[in-house]
Amino acid sequence: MKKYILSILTIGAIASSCSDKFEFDPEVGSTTFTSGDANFTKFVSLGNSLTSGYADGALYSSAQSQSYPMIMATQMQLAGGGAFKQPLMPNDMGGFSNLGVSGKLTLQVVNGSLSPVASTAGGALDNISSGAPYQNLGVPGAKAVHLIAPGYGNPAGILAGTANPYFTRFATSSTTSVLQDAMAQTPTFFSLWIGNNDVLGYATNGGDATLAQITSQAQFDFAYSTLVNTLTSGGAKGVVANLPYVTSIPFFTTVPYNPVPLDAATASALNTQLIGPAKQVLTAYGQGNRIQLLSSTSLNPLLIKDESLTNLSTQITSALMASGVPAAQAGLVGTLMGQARHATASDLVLLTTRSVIGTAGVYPAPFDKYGVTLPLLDKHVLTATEVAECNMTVDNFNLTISNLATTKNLAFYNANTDMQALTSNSGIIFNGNTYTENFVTGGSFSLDGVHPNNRGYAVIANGFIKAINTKYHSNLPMVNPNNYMGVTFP
Amino acid sequence: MRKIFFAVCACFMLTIMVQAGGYRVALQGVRNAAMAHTSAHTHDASVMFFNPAALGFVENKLSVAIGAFGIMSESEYQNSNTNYAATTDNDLSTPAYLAASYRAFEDVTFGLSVTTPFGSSLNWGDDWAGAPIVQNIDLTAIFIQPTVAVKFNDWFAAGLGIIYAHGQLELNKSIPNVNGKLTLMDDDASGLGFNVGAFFKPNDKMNVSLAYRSNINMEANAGDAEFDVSSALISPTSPFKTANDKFNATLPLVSEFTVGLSYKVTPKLLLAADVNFAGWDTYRSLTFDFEQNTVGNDPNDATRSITPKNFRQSNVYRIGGEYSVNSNLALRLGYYYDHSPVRDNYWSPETPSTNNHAFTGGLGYKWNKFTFDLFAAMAKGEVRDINNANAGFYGETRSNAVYFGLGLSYNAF
Repeated sequence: MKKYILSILTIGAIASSCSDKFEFDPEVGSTTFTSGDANFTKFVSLGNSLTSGYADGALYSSAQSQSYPMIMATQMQLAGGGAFKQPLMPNDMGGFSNLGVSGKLTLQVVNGSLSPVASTAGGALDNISSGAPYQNLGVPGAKAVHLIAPGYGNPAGILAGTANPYFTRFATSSTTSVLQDAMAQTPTFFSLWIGNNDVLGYATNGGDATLAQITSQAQFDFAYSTLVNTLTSGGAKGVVANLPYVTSIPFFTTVPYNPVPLDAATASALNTQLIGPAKQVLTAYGQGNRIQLLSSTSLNPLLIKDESLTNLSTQITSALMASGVPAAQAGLVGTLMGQARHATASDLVLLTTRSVIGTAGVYPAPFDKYGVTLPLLDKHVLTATEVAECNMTVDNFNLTISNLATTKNLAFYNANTDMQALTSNSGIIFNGNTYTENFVTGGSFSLDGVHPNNRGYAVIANGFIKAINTKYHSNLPMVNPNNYMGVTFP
Repeated sequence: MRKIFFAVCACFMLTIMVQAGGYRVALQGVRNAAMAHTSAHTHDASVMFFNPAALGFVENKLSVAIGAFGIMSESEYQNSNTNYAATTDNDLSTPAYLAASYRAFEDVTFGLSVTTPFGSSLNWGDDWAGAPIVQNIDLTAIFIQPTVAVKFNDWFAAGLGIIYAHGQLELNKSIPNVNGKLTLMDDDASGLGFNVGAFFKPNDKMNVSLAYRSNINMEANAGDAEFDVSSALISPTSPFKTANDKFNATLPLVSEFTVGLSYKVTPKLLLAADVNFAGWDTYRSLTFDFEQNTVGNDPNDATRSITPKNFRQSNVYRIGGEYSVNSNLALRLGYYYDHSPVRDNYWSPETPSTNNHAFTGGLGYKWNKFTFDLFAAMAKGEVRDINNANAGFYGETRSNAVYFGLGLSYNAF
């Protein structure tokens, strides 16, 4: 009898002696969060559309409420962070009916397949400056210099293009700047992510410099250092993020360079009529590899205009005339094919170009199919040269950003690395869910192919939080991206 | 005495529970289970699962044994990086067994056992953090084992069983990128294997058991894979070609080599010890091969979804004893340590394995040719780290379980 009581006691003793092996340390729920060397009492966030929570081609309230600054502020509130107010749109559609700005893209079934379709604007441009100050100072469309530009929120400047309607909504005066509105709040902590539009506009216009230009290094450096110097002038601490390569977003990676199927008859006819003779002339000038004969067994590359090529219009025209082609037709072929080439995997076709491929321009048949017989224009494709130009600019801008972060002893978030992972082939995985570059089903990008959806923004918020924790010895918890709003399917 | 035992059992039951790693459920005999599930015993027909040769030493010409168990288990997960915690809400699971043996000739005994040695019943909830890996899973494998044992002399018997395994699986998980859900179901998976053993009685105090149960690959062929996604997504150009796809998968029910020893220290006290060497290292990966939907992660075949598992070989150490109060009543105790076969960097919530310490107890009461057995046990899993980069899943976990069981055997002639 005693023996058994003893052995039971022994077992109990063994169990309790190793009880620390059975307890979480610390247990979630009993963690104390600290701001470390930082002070989150007044957190302001400056930036562009990415900071505002813009998604699906519009700024709308439900996506704003899960912007990355809002996610950061929510976590900061566990460690002494104050209230964080955002200039929410008055509706969940976005857009401004009086300015011709349409509402958000939604997925709809068009001709049997899922397509993003723009919706009607939710209302006219509103004004909520009476509710100022706002702590989310992200303004869609802003370049670095815009954040320091006085009058960028002056409603009178909208039509002239000197003001931004999104900033007029909540600017505290017609003469203020985004930076001034931030400093007026005497922030204790700031985040700054700006500069994407200084390159992106050029890229999303296919590198057509008549439509948008890349900001000069000098102008970017000036704007960026003004921002950082001013924001830190009152002793505030903060985090800055560098710029992702514009070319890693689905807007540039969704449409393949070779999407053109042709049946045997069409391929053969086009080869005889157009491609063959043109290639013959180009070959004579040592440029035969610009174009290749069309195939009916594999997908054909897009025909594009590359303005960096030597223009061989005259040579093509005269050669064709010499072989008996009527002058008018020879002239047209010369004009169209003078700087044409077939696209390669290094060229990035814009998402918006998808609806252009195969449509007619102003020329008669057979030159009535963009990308097949009619070269796509500069604005339709970001060529390999232009890609390199964009990425080199981003590298240079990023050097400015990381140098200033070091000089001013700020936390630095390498957003470029995360965005490249989010858009890589293999993707990035959270709690068993893989995010990839795939447009619509990839999980992290919104329907405009440029802006993340709120799950992508949550990944970015985690990146900022990690950088802050590392620099300031805080222990803000991160979030689970899967819990945020993704793409909605009909 | 009896009061104390009931009190101990009640304590086990009341303790908040969690459990059990892996999908091996070691509950195939109530008497054995009460002695830490040790194997070197010959009391009734149920021993043939542990070692087919043991049947050769079952005293009675006809023996029938049945038993049922209840498992209340709970796994806890937390991630301090995201300040998040979750706990399973598992249904009671009820493995059972049935065994019968008959000594047809003087030295030859035939038997049949039906057991459920593998299974898992887990419910983490639809919206928990690991939902893209598993929301809930229900896995059962039934082993049907015809057995023959030959007793060569007073001290040695050998035995062989052929195992036909039949399995059922249901697994649900979320597909967040399309706000969808995947249900995998198969109720007709099957596999074949064998169980072979040698049993020694060097003297009338000692039993030595050596047994090897082979690995059985449980194969699901053309199971149902239901993709609950927006119908607008179902198209030949989408990864989701159909809402009602089929899948093939193979799950190893791994081999086990057991060395067991029991010894009658006094006429009233029996002590037993076991080591199980479980061949979990054969579980390298789990592949779901879909028929149509290109939702996999294999770069060479988009319909194949491959999850690396890389389990390691693991051992279980068991020690137990039985004290015969009188010729009718026996009291039993045991302890075992179950070393998790899952590595930190491959840990997955569908198999929430931890290093487990289990305390077992029970009693048996003999009445004529019948024996009633009661059993209860508590297993506690050590806290462990989860560091699964492959699934992007991190944190810590621990587990508890409470088991109880009731058995009845009839030993005639």
